[in-house]
Amino acid sequence: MNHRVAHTGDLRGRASALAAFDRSDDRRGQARLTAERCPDPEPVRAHGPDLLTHMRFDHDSLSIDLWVRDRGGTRSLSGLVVGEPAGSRVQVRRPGHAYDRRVALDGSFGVVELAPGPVSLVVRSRDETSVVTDWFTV
Amino acid sequence: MPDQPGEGNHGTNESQKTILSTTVEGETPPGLPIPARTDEDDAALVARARKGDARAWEAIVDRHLPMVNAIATSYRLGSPDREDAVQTVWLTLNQHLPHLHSPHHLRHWLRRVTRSLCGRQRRQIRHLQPVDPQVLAARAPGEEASSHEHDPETLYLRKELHEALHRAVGGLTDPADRRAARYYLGQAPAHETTPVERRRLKRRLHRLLREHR
Repeated sequence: MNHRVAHTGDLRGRASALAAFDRSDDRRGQARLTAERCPDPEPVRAHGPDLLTHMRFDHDSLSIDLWVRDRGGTRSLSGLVVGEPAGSRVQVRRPGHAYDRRVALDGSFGVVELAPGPVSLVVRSRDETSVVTDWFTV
Repeated sequence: MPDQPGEGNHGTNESQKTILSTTVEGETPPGLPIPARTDEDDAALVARARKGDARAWEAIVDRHLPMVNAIATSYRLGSPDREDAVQTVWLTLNQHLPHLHSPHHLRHWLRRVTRSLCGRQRRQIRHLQPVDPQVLAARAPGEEASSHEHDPETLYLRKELHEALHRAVGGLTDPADRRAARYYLGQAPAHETTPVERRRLKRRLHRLLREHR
């Protein structure tokens, strides 16, 4: 579709849209979202974080299961990497910064007290190959 | 938790510098971003952006951001949620840029992704039901979350309805109707009214309800 004239309308969020440009992911494998399950709404109780969603990302033999929970307005992520040799690392990316986590021997990892916003994961194996997940909002 | 800056940084300052101005001076109020203009179609811009051309990306953003914002606004999300969804759209486009099958259909692709992400954001928000901690503490075990029997607003509205009903009953001219109305409100015993009076009032009430529909 051809658009000869640029819009001059609502340009809110332009700076963050421009900042999204980054070609460093182009050479990485991409793990696509293959399943997502949102549990039925339930009243917030005091017994612990509330499960918001469970997602699954797949790339070849690698699978990442991710559970997103809410606790008092912040999010926690807990995940399970399957099909990746021990010693790999997971990077939880936000626009502008990232948290690095070692994957446990059983494949689990976790991050707590994340502010709501866009997130993507990078799984790095020991041989420095890496796989990125789609961006999603927590 | 300490932030770990570095690898995920997309260089916001650098992007700020690339905000270009090719429009006529005075066309846009000072302080607002000035959209870049180009005659290239989407496929050409995508091809250039794939090679790392930030100006092509900027042109794509300026061309389609108003549409993305309009769709996101239509989902009636709160401001932070809308901004998160819109930002995720552009992060997703950046990630999928090398794999787009039909770059000339970029607008349709953006529309679909924006709807998908905004819908997901809305479902996620619906899942959260803010509850006053004091209400939770006072609630008996097993009590429904939607019970607001002792809510001050509910009590006030109930009192107001009670007074309005009594004013309406007092306005009935026929004493038999007044007695029957009090019976239906549970404020008079059955022996004070006859079945005929009760049926007559019932018919009148049904007629009034039909008229006010």
